[in-house]
Amino acid sequence: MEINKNTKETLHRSLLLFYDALKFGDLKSLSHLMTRESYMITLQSLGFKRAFREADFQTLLKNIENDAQSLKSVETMLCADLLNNSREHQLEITSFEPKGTNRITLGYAQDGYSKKMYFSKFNEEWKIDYKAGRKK
Amino acid sequence: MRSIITNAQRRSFMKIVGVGAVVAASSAFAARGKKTTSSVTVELSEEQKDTLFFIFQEEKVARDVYITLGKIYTEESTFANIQISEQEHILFAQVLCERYGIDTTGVNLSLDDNYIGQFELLSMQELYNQCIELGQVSLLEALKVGRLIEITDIDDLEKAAEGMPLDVVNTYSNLKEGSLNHLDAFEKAIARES
Repeated sequence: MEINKNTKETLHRSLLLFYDALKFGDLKSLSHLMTRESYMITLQSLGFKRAFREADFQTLLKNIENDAQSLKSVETMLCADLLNNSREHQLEITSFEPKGTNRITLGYAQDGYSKKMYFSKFNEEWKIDYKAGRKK
Repeated sequence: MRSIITNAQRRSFMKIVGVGAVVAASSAFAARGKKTTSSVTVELSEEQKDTLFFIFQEEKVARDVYITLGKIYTEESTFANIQISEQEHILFAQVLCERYGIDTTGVNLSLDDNYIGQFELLSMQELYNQCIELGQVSLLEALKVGRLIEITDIDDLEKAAEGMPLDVVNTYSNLKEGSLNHLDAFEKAIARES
């Protein structure tokens, strides 16, 4: 699969929006950039520290996939946490690697460290998809 | 019968199976997503293969957290003991991937200091960073981090096993047994330290 200029720009923009959403605690935007499953994984990762300290939050976090109220509560609390720990990163795109049909791995450096973001195409729209790391 | 198998015996068994499975993966199974036996052919869906690969990548988080915390709390042997077992978990998950034709060569599992604690996926990096931040506070907190990692792992493996073929379910079941042993070890260490 050849990756055209428009697609590269779209993925680059998604990456920047992803980091902005984390910086500003904008979980609504974050959820639109990702597959639902990847969004859930992100919330679980972001919420680990709070879940460690608060048993009630741990229960809520466990239920986010099946309970809208738990999801909303978790989002509200994590949004505040993100704003309190707002971080700025230096990002540099290093590669675009096609992974078969409708999958691309975006390579980039975050503060000098090598990172990857996996994308899948759903209904003509590219979404961040943590489970799209292998060639399909 | 199962109830009289000791933890030590189970660990030993897992180690033997883990080493043997590498050979089995390269010789007895057909590549490209199919596992064949004399009577059945099992093929995973694309989604199931994605899950296999993700679980494989995720196994590195627990290993690296225990390596790092083990370096901070050198007098506590629980981390050192469990990190060896976590390396075996990675091997189990890698064997499963290879059995179903999933390429794992792009994942850096090096034990070099420069790679421990480095993750290409942000969700895994975030998880690792939070674990280390919490664990640096005290030995007791570090042991509690280990406990929560194992509880989370057990939940994840149960979910990941849903709808999978028998060999995947069996491997995940073995990994879960390992996590239950780790959980037990952390509980004992927490009780001792409290």
